[in-house]
Amino acid sequence: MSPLEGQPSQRPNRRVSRRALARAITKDRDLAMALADDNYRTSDSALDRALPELSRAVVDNSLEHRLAGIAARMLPPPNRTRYAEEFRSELGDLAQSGAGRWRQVIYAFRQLARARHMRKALMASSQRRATPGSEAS
Amino acid sequence: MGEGPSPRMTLTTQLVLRALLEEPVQEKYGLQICAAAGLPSGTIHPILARLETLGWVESRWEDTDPHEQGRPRRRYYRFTADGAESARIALARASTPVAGLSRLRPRPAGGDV
Repeated sequence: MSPLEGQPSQRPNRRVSRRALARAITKDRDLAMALADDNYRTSDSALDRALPELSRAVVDNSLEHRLAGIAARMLPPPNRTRYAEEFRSELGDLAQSGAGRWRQVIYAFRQLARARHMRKALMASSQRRATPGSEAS
Repeated sequence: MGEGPSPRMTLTTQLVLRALLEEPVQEKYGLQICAAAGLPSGTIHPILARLETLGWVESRWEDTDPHEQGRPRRRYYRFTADGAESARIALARASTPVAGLSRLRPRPAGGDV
């Protein structure tokens, strides 16, 4: 017996969800335009603020930033954002200090190689916090 | 003080502690600590995470606007009030067996007193 046998056809549902999706997109577009309009009225520098973020996002697609991002994603979820920012910050410091591209890649590789140790240390930290008896007196 | 749990005093942990103890009240960011400890970048974060959990070290984000600075904000580390003292005690304990090893060093021939 086929696993799909006895189940209702998917076609009508798909049509309904497409219509719902189209409606949601229209609504979101209207909302986004309203928000953007409001944003520009209240602050002319909205675009000025957004552009460096966008350009950084493009630059951050480099190998070293991607490796550092992977290293951060290997950490426990509550710590990921902090360390992703910290690694990014140190890559920025390395770049500012005149370190070449390869030094930055090596830095990111090291973070990646140590991510397992880091994860272990952070997991132990959260366990320690969860067990008050093991906290330093 | 100094009687609470302490980290495993590996050589790298000792180097990080010594680097922070050079100026215990001064805040340092990751790469500064690496440079002061003579460790390659990317090796100190697990140690700092352990020290932070023990309450020896505290950290905070730099209080600046990244857009004005033109770089992401830094994470600064420094000893807590009790952390520096705990670190000194732990380092003294850790260095004792190393000092004791000097007695095992081969002495020059005929130098037996």
